[in-house]
Amino acid sequence: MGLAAETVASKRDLSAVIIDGQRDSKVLSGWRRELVGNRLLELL
Amino acid sequence: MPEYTLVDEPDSIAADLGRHDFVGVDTEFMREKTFFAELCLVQVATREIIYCVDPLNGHGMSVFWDALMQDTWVVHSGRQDVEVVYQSARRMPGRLFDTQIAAGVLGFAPLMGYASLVKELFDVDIDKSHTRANWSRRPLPDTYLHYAAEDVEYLLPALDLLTEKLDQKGRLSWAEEDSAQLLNPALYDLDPELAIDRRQRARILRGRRRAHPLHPMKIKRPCSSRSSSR
Repeated sequence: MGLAAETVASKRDLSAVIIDGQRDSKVLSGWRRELVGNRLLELL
Repeated sequence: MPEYTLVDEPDSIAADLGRHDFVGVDTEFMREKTFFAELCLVQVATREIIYCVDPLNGHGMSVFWDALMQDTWVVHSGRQDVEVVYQSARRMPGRLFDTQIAAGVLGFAPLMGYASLVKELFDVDIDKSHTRANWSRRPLPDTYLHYAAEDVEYLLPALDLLTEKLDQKGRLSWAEEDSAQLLNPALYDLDPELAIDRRQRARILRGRRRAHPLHPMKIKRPCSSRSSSR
């Protein structure tokens, strides 16, 4: 993608989704959701 | 060195600002001793001229702000600029494009500085030595104003170049989406009481509590009333 990982999601963003179960994280909205968020939810 | 015009009567340039769709915007402010930052200078770059607008000389700014908010602001790492203007003027631009966000979305280093971006895009070295200058001093030295003007000089050219690259990669909407998130007033509606509480608790945690009551952080509202515009 030529995109820094932290531009897509920080460790804190990912921890909030994976460990805390948050669903209002920015990684699950907008272009990030299309890029990685939906796939992330499938894995959880 | 960029050419600039120092503006003592901000409302006088409102008509010119109304002729443009995009303007580069940056601010200089002081926040060292007060909770609310003191807005000390507003730099506005059109495609023809750079204005260094002095908000500290007591002239009206209401018409200036109205005109400026109609344009799309092009900023670099603009969160603090939006915050300071919002807290000073209680207004926010209708649209915003942040070149730092755009660069990140394009694959440049995350949180890239303005000087680094200008070097990367235009192979130009710019001076960042006045970042921590006393911007509330008057008259502002010419070296300060040159520095301030340089901070907006490349914003519109960067917009053009970044937009073209983003478009090619199909990521223009990504940059627009992330930039728009900076226009949420909830980000900037700070409660001073909460800040005092946080400061007190932080001191206690650091074990530096004094025997006398803690002095709340000095809260100085900006020159303009937060309930009325200038």
